[in-house]
Amino acid sequence: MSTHLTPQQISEWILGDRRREAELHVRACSLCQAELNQFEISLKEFRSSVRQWSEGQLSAYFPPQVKRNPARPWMVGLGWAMAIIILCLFVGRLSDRSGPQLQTAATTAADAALLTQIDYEVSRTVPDSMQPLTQLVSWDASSSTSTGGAHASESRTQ
Amino acid sequence: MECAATSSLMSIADHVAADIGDLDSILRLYRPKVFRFILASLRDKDAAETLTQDCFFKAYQARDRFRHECSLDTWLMQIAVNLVRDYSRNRRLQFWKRTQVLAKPVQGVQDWLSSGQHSPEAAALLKEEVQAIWSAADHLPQKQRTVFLLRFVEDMDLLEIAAATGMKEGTVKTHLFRALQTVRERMGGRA
Repeated sequence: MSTHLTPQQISEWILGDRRREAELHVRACSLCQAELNQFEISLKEFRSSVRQWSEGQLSAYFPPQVKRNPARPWMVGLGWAMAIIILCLFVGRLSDRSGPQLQTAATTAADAALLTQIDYEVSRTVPDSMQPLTQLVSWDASSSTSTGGAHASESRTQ
Repeated sequence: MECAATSSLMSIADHVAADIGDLDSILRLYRPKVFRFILASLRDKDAAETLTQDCFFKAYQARDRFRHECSLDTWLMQIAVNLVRDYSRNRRLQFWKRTQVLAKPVQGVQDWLSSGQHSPEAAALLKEEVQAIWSAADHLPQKQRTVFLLRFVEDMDLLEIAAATGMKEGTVKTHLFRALQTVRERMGGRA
């Protein structure tokens, strides 16, 4: 094979299809050898460039996670102390709240008693001074005809 | 060597994530790869992010249908390839996609050259060539671009690409050959 490799033969070579006559020529021809080497290097560089470029794009989208420092013993202790202090403050606040709550309950009971008394006073139909009279006279209809009528007849006969 | 190491790592990863219900492990292992393929195909960060999430969501939903006929890696790439294809076909989104790309131009990959052992002249030449490949890949037809990226970025072999794309091995080879020809022409290789 006296002439140089054709573009088809170069493409076939790159794709791994290497015929014997092409191999013999490449061994003998430094020009073809150089051209094949340069093309292979270019493709290799293309691959690594695309890979690095893609990694750059990917890391821009997914920033690496921030590495957390392992917790130190004194930090753990401090954390527990803070938690206990916060718990104490919370409990203290709850107990402060329980005093007013009891006071409120007592006030409510007193109010209820007062309202009952007021209801009783308002519901009375006769004043205090006439109260004993109500005990003498029953306003019940049946009793009014018997006892009331009896008292009336007694007073008339007298 | 690198390829063998990667494939053995992937097979270990498949064992680790054998239970596909373990979504966290699967996401941790495969999200970068799926995201990379989608991003390189669409060159739109937002779309790549959305489709990557869709890919894992679909995989999780269809986990009962995964019969271990291919590796989990290939299966996920198959879903990703379908999502990219559907997204590209959706013509209603074309206008918005163009607007988005204009609004937020994606930085070129040539700025991410890794090799520091080259001389400044060689590095500059490589940068130009990588830029030419990147630009050429963008102009490839959908199928050619997919197989090109799967082969030359994801380092998948022809059988894996065939499984991921649903094409026959010969068809994959043809698309790959044409893609390579176009890329080489764009790089200014001998015609």
